[in-house]
Amino acid sequence: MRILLSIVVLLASSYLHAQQTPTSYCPKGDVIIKCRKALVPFKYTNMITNRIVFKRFNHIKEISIPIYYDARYRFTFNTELVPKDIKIRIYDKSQTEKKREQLAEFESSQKQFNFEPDPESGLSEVYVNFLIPAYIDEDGSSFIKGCIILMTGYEDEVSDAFGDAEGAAAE
Amino acid sequence: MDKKIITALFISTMILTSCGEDSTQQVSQEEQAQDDLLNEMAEEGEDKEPEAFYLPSALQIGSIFQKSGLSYIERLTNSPSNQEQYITKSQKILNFGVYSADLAYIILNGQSQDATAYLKTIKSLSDKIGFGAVFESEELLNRFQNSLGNEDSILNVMIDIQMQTDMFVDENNLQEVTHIIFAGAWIEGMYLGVKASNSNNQHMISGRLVEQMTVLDNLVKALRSNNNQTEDIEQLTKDLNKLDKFFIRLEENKNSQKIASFKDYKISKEHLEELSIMIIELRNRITKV
Repeated sequence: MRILLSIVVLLASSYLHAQQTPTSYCPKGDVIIKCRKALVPFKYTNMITNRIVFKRFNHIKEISIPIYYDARYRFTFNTELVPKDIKIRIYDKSQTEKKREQLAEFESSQKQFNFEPDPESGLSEVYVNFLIPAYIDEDGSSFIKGCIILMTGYEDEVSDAFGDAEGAAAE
Repeated sequence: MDKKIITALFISTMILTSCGEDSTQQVSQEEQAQDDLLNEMAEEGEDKEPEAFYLPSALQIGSIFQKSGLSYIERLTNSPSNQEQYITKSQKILNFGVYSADLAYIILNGQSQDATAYLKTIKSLSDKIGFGAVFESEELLNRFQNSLGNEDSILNVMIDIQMQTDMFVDENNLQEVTHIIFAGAWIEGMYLGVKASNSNNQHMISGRLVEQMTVLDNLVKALRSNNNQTEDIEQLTKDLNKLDKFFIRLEENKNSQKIASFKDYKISKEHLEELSIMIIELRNRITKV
């Protein structure tokens, strides 16, 4: 009977785990404020939440970001809500292409960092790869989750008169 | 999922049976099988979570076109009076996007006298598509009213509205709806680009139109990822995919000329005409009453 009870609990917890809402493992209220500060003086254009799930095998999650020529961009990443270290690499082409150039690399332990593509590069898209290492909990059955907030902003020619695009946000 | 649960329960029964036989080794094997199954279930649950697709804001698209010399033409936008006649949810969601792009076009061109009517239309549709909470703040609407006529201030308010919308979508897992909204906004932005280009700005505008293919590619992927497809959204996705294929032809043409950036690519008159026809047809199908 005790085994039956354990199985029911295990099944229920597994089901609930699968149904877990993003807000429960991704409480991002404060993180959004930090990202918004880091984006200054760029104009906000978009924010996406990248769900990161650690599986029992290494895997790469890729997203593509279209960029317009003549515009300057800042991508602000916040990785505070990732429970284990991962790498973030940015490329000029998708992982499906044989030849591609790595434009930047970051560690999630940096917690927050910016990437600004070179506006002279002529690129119309950049690819962000999240390298998620294999992981398994001590109980051997759980999949841990986290999220990375990516906020993007752009700058127009008015800002040229102000020199380098350093943030001027209040602490 | 149900099938998995039934299988898991079957395995549970097997374990119970084996308990009676007091066979520790068999229990261990069955437990391992159950563990694997539960992991598989958890993994499948994860796969159902929304994938993240990067789509720019309607305001940024409008801003890009405007900086390329896109002129303002009266009565080109969808009339606010049409909104009452959009009956289905898909029509309302798509036209929420259309009106958002129109509002950006109006504001970026300093036509603040029309802006309030468009914001009211967007607010009205937002209530009908479950986005009412974004626009319920009196303070936001007052800031909008008070900023009319001051381009920098009104743009800040628009950026704040965009940010609040993104946060609302994220908190409520409404990514599927926002993909459809963006489809409406993107098509309207392209429509305005096609209709408001003239001989003076055509080279710049056409470069910007072709540049949109990278956004379209993400949009098609985003729409395809939607689990709850209605017939009209399925058709829209097919039409956008057809347009994406047309864009791929243009990119191949650009690459064959060894042109690196869309900035330097000059689209032929025939191609521009073909693109214009496809965009106008798509847009008119969405806004027709």
